[in-house]
Amino acid sequence: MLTKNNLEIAAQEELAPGIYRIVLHGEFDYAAVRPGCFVMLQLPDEAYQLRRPLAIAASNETQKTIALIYRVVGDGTRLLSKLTPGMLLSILGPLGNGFSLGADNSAEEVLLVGGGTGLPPLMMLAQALNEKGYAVTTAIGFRTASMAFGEKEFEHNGKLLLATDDGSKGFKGNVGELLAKQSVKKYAKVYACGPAGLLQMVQKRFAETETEIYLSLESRMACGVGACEGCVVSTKDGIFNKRVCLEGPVFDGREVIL
Amino acid sequence: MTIAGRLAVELPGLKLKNPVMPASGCFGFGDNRYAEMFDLNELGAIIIKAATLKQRDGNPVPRIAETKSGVLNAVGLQNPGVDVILHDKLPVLHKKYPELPVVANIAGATEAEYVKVAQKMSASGMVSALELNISCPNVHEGGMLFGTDPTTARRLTEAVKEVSQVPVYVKLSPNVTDIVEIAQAVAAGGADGLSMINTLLGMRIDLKTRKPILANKTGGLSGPGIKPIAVRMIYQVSRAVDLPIIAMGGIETADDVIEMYLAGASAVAIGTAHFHNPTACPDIIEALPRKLDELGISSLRDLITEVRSAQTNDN
Repeated sequence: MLTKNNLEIAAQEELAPGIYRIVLHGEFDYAAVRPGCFVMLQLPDEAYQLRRPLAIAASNETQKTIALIYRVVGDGTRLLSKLTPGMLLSILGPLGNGFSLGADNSAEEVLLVGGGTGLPPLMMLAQALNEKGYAVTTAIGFRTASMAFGEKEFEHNGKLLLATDDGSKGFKGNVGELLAKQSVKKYAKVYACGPAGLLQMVQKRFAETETEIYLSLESRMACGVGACEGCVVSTKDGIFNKRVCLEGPVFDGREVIL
Repeated sequence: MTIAGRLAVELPGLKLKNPVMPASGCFGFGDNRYAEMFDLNELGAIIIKAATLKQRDGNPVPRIAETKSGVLNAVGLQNPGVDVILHDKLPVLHKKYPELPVVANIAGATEAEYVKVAQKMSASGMVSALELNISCPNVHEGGMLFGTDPTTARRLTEAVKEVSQVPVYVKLSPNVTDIVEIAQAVAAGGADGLSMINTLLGMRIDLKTRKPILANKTGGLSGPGIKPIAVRMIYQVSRAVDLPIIAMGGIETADDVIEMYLAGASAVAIGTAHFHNPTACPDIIEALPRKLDELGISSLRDLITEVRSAQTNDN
């Protein structure tokens, strides 16, 4: 059953310029959380009519906390970044289908590809896949070294390939160029989250392989529960036949049309 | 059957245990996760997503943009078409909530399409009333074009009334110079009631791309920002036309509901409020009796009578 709950801000920190991690504490349907799920967060100001869809970066049922990571993109997220511990936020969730993890005790090699605010759901995914026994490689890209975050989490759960546009850390170039230098045939699954260009790159790169492709999409949405048809996406089976909030946000990369 | 209780109201085709219903387009066909959060049987009724004759894919994305105290949408009447709705959607809704009155919003690109959809929908036995959508601002044919000219609006109402087996509520557009003129025209066309207001045509522009945020460029503005416009229009129309009005436009609380009644409404629909408060409808239903106590109002039926007779004295 879906519920909205008031969760208390336990902590908030700036991970990189304009990138914040907020930890919320309280009652929540933790058992229903899967990597790739998101919540709709209500800002504490009624002028904001729409909840913000934010991916869950970590979930801890024992401590009753979830962590969200977001980028300040407008007035709403700026307001969110100024909120301090102790304040309550209305959270609707968990929402969305989440990533398909596959069998336990698999030794298969899997690749995670992310950029920008696509990283948070991959953090939770990397941990879940590592715990299942998969050999996880994560390829992530940033504009420059000072914008990087999440390296520790990904290194803890596997191998990390890092790219920066200006070469100030790791490979010089974007994630697509980084992957162009690698053989990707060995990966049984690829999971990607990030801007449309990055997802299209993954779709193209793996089109001729046997690799399972899972893409997590971002969309402007109003309801988050499949009611408003605001966040539709097309697949091979039809035009605007799926909703990012309900049937997604994770789609089969061979079905979804970007 | 008579409906008892202080919140009960009776409109043509609609005997409602309370006056609160989700507005069209904000609640699908009841087939979404809002239904996990409360029992839809608590609702007075439900107005389902617009139905057209054939499947419509809707507009490209982005379809949603936020504004201060409002939301712009340009979904474009995406729906699977009346036959699929009658075959797959309504039977499920009806089976799950047999007591829940259903109002079917219908739209079309031509008069002939409206008439066919009205025929099929009203003959289904699963809907209590039709809401004739002559006010959608997000489609390029039909929609609002039928709702901005009094002669066209009247003719369409007559044509739909001729075939409909259930009462017809005409949903009016606020994007007109004189909404009273349109209301009078559809009343003359035989409308059983009015539904008002639909969204206001608006736009937002992205500072970085320098282009409109919505792929459709323009969209319909809803939410509390438009409530004063809805109140004013309902106030004006209810004084000029003797038809029951289902009020909508930024309603979020029991206070807002009473304000709509004081303007001249007989029932209310809740739309955009769901997006920040998914349980807006049951919350309002729960809060209404206390609000009536506080204001010394015995029942909504009495309130309607009082407001209507005060209007007559005004005139």
